Amino acid sequence: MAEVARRLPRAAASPVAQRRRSLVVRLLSNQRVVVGSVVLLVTFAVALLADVLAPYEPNAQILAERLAGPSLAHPFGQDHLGRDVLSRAIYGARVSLGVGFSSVAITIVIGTIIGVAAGYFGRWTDSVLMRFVDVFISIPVFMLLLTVVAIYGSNVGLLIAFIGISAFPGAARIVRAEVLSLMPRDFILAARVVGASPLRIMARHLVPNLMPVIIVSATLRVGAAILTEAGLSYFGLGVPPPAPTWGGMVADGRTFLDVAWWVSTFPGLALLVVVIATNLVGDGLRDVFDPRRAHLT
Amino acid sequence: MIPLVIGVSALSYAVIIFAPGDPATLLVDREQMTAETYTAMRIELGLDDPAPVRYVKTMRSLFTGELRSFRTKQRVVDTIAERAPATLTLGVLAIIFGLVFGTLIGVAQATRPYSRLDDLGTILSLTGFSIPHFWFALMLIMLFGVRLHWLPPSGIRPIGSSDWNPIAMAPYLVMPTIVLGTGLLAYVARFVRSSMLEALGQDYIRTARAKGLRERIVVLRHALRNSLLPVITIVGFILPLLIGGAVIVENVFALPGMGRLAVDAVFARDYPVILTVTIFSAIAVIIGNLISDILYAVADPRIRYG
Repeated sequence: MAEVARRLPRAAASPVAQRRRSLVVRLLSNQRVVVGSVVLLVTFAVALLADVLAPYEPNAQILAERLAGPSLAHPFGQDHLGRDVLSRAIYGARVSLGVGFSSVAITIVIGTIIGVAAGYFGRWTDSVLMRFVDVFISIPVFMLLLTVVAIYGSNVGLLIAFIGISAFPGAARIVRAEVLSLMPRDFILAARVVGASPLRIMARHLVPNLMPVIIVSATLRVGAAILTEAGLSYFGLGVPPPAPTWGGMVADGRTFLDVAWWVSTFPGLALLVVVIATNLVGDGLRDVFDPRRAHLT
Repeated sequence: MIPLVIGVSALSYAVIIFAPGDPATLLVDREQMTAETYTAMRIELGLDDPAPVRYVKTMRSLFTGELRSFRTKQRVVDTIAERAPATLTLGVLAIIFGLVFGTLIGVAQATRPYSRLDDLGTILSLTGFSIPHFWFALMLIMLFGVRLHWLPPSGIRPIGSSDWNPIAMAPYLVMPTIVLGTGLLAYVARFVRSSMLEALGQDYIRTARAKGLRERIVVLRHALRNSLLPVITIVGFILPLLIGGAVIVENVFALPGMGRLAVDAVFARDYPVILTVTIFSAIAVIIGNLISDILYAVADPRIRYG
C-alpha cells in the first residue's frame, strides 16, 4: 500500500514535463507577461547594480546646488539638500522591490497555511480560522499599519513582516476557496484511499495544484505591497532616513512643488511604472493559467 | 456582526496595549513629574489593572462616550463627530465618481472590444490600480493648483468661513474626490467591461437584436442591467482600501477628516483616539459590507440568504 502511494504521483512525471514546456511557450507569447517582466527585470538589475549605475552618492549633499533643475550632470535634478534625484531613485528601487517581494512571500506563506488548513479540515478549524480572517479583513489595513509601525518602529525586517502579515486574509480566502474546489476531485479521494496522511495530501497533492492561483495572486499583491511601503515612507514611517525610498523622496518634494517639480515627480513615476509592470505580469499570468476567461480581461 | 466588532476591538486593543513606553509619562510634563503624580496618573488611567479588565473598561468608556483623548482631553466621540462629515462627504463623492465613470468607461470598452478606445480604457484602468494616491494627489495639486490656479490646492472651505456651504466647498473637493475615486473607477471599469462582454454573448442579446431592437436599447437595457448587479459587491470589498486611501488623501489635501485625525493621533501616541478611529472605521466597513449584501439580494431576486 505504502509503495503504491509513493509511486502514484511519479507516474504522471512525463506529461507534467510536457505541460511545463508548453507553459513556457504560452508565457513567452503573452504580451503582458513579457512587457511587465522586462520592466521588472530591468528594475531588478538597476537595484542590484546601484553602486555601479548611480552617478553620485545617494546621500551626498551639495547645499550650493539646492533644488537645481534637471541638467546633463543631474538628469532628474537635485533635491532640497542638493542630493542627486536620479542616484537616489536608483537606490530607492532596492527598498521598493525588496520590501514588496519579501513581504508578499510572507503573505503567501501565511495565507497558504491558513487557507489549506481551513479548506482541508473544514468544520470548526475552518470556522475559527475564517472568523479570524473576517476580523482582520474588516480593519482598514493602512490605518493599522501606521499605528503598528509608529509604535513598534520600522527597521526593514519589521516593515516587511508587518506589511506581509497585514495582507494575509485575502490570500487565505483565495487559497481556501481553491482548496474547497479541489477537495471533491478524484485524485484527492485516491490519495486518501491509499492511506496518505493529511500532511502528505496537503503538501504533495493540494499545494502543487494551488500553484497557479498562488502565483497569480502573489504577483498581483506585489504592486499593492510596494504601494503600502511607499505610503508608509511618505508619512516618514518606512525605512528610516536618510536611506532613499521612493515614497520618502516624493514626500521630500511636496513643499517645493511650485519651484522644483522634479523632486516629487520622478520617484513617483518610478513607483507607477514598477507597479504597473507587476500588475501587467499578474494579469498576463492569470490569462495564461485560466485561458477560458482570458478573452474577458 | 457583534462578534466581528468584538474581534476587531480586541485586536486593535492588543496592538496598542503591548506598545513600549508608559502612557502615564506621555501625559505629564516630564519636569513636573513626581513619584506621587506618576502613581496618581497610573491609577487614573487604570494602568495597573490586568489587560482583560482594562480592555472591558476601555470598551465601556468608548461606547458610553466617556473615553477622552490623551492630548486634548476632549471626549473622543465629540472629536469624531466633528471630523466624520468631511470623511463621509469625501467617501460618498469618491464612490459616486468611481461608479459613474467606471461604468461609462467599461460600457464604452465593451461595445467596441479590441479597438483603440478599448485599449485606452484598459491602460487607464491599469494606471488607476497602480498609481500611488499621495503622488497622484501632489501631481494634481502641482498642475491644477500651483500652475494653472484652477482649483484651490488644499483645505476644505474658503479661509474664514466655517459652515457647510456645498457651493463654496465644491472646488476644494474636486481633486480629493478624483484621487480617492480612481482606484474604484479602475475596478469598476474592468469589471463592467468583462461582465458586459460576457452578457453581450448571451442568447437573450441575440434574441433582442433579432427582434430588431435598436443597439442602444440592447446594450443599455438588456446587457448593462444584467452586468451591473455584481458591481454593488465591489463597493463592499473595496471599502477598507477606500478608508486607507482617505487617510492619505485627507493628509495631502489638508482636509479635516478622520483620516487626518488618525495620523495626528498616531504621531502623538494618542491611544484612545487611535483605538476609536480604528474601531469606528472597521464598523463602517462591516456595515458597508452588510448594506452591499442586502442591496445585492434586493436587486437580484435569484439570491436568497437562508
